[in-house]
Amino acid sequence: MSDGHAAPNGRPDDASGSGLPADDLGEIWGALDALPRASASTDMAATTVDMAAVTTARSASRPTIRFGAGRPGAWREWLLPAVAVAGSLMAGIVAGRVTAPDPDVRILEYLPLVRHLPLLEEAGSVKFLQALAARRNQQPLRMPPEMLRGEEQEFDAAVADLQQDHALGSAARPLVEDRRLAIAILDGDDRDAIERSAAVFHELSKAEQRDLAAVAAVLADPEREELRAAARLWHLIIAASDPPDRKNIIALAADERLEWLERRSRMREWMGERRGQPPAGVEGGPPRGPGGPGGGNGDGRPRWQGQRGEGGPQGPRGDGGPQGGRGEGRSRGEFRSAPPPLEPASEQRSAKDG
Amino acid sequence: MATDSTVMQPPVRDPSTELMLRVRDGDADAFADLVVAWQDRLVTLFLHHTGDHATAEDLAQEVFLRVYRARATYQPTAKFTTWVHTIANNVASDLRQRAYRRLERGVPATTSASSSAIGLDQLAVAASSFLPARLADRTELQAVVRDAIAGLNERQRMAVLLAKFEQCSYEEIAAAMGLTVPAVKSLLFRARDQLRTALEPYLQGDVP
Repeated sequence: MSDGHAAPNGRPDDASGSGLPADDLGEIWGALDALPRASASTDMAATTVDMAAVTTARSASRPTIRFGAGRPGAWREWLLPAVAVAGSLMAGIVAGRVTAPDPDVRILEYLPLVRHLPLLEEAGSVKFLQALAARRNQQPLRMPPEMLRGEEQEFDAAVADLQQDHALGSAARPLVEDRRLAIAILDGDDRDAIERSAAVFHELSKAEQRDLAAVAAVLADPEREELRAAARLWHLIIAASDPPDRKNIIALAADERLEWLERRSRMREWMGERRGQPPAGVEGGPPRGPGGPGGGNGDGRPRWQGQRGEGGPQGPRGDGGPQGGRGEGRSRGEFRSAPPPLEPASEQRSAKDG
Repeated sequence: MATDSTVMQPPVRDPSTELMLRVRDGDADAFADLVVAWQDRLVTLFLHHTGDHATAEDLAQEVFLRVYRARATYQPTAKFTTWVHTIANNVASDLRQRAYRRLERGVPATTSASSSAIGLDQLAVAASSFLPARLADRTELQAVVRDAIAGLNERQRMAVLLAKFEQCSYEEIAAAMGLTVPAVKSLLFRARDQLRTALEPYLQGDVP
């Protein structure tokens, strides 16, 4: 990489045969010349330096104590106590260093898991992903294309990050130092978020931590494409659900999630048939009740797809609970094997923890 | 002893690394020089990554501030260029995550200083709506290429931009993005296919 901006001209393949991006991008490389180079505004450098100076000033503006500013000779009175206190402090720091772990260690140790905790909790367990991968015809609800693309990118970026860490873990690089640097360059908000996530992670039971680590491992494993695809599909299904429902759905155990999916599939199938002709052998009418939690549109569509039927965007919560999903509120007795209503997510979490 | 003298020579460092070492040692002027040396490059990178100049400047500034905050930990074990590209990639990635969190909270994405890839996609769609089916002039070609770039996923886009505007090799892109070289090749391969599809009508003629 050069510091300049000279365009590469006719770069030959290197000896290793790895080539250069310019070669491999082919005719696209030339098309990219249409993109102009930009210039920063005239005051950007000055503003940036000022902001950096403010950063420095903040850290340097702590109040200082001027020793010996009082009467002459007064220092003798506090010298011995000060030495004693300083000695104690030093001894404490040394002892602390020996006995207490680096405060970053609990983040560093599990950084990939901590960083992607929401995604891993969403995937839940390898068992669930395996079961989901074995199912057919599961589709997320329709989403606006830009939202779908955003969700896919979100998932792919997280998986790529996990894969990178997986690759680093198998190499001889100083992994912990890499992670320490990665944390060092985070801004305050991001670091706070990581610390909060670390706290949540460490509050999980060892079994739950192992489950999440196993999920991370399969997502990072190039050989487990089918499970990665299942996790991706599940991510989109969750993303298409109403925000108030998501926590409840994610809190479900693997079997309950599958039940929810099963019911959701049957409902979608039933509604698809209903649009054409009434389904044979299905008793009861269509789900006339209000939508599921969060008051979906009452027809299985997320809120942003507009209103149709009862239970508008701000409609009352239906009786579907997470099983019913957004707008999939079931009518009682409609399905032969409908699972019982779900308890609130918090209770389920307690039950799982218990 | 030519060999000995060669061994005793200090390692040759690129100018940016030298500046960064001075920044680490508390030289404020060096930081200003570093900003001046890099600001256009970073703004260009982020402009084509986000599609918005104001956002690009904000992100470039964030990179400089992170560099400054992390100055004490800087070790010239790698080129400064690689380090700053790594930070730039993290900043771009964080922007996406922030947009996602904002979406989670139900706050609509905007195209302002904190615009996201989603906002850009919307911009791209809007931009494409006025494009004729012919290649007219360079401005239109810019819009087409910008649209095509916006259609790439975040990682593909960053890899393409690092290759094109920062002249990065596969190894350098891999180091900056925390990927393996094969993963970068795969990214660029898919990006090329996607771009080729999007630009096909325009690639048939001569591209200026």
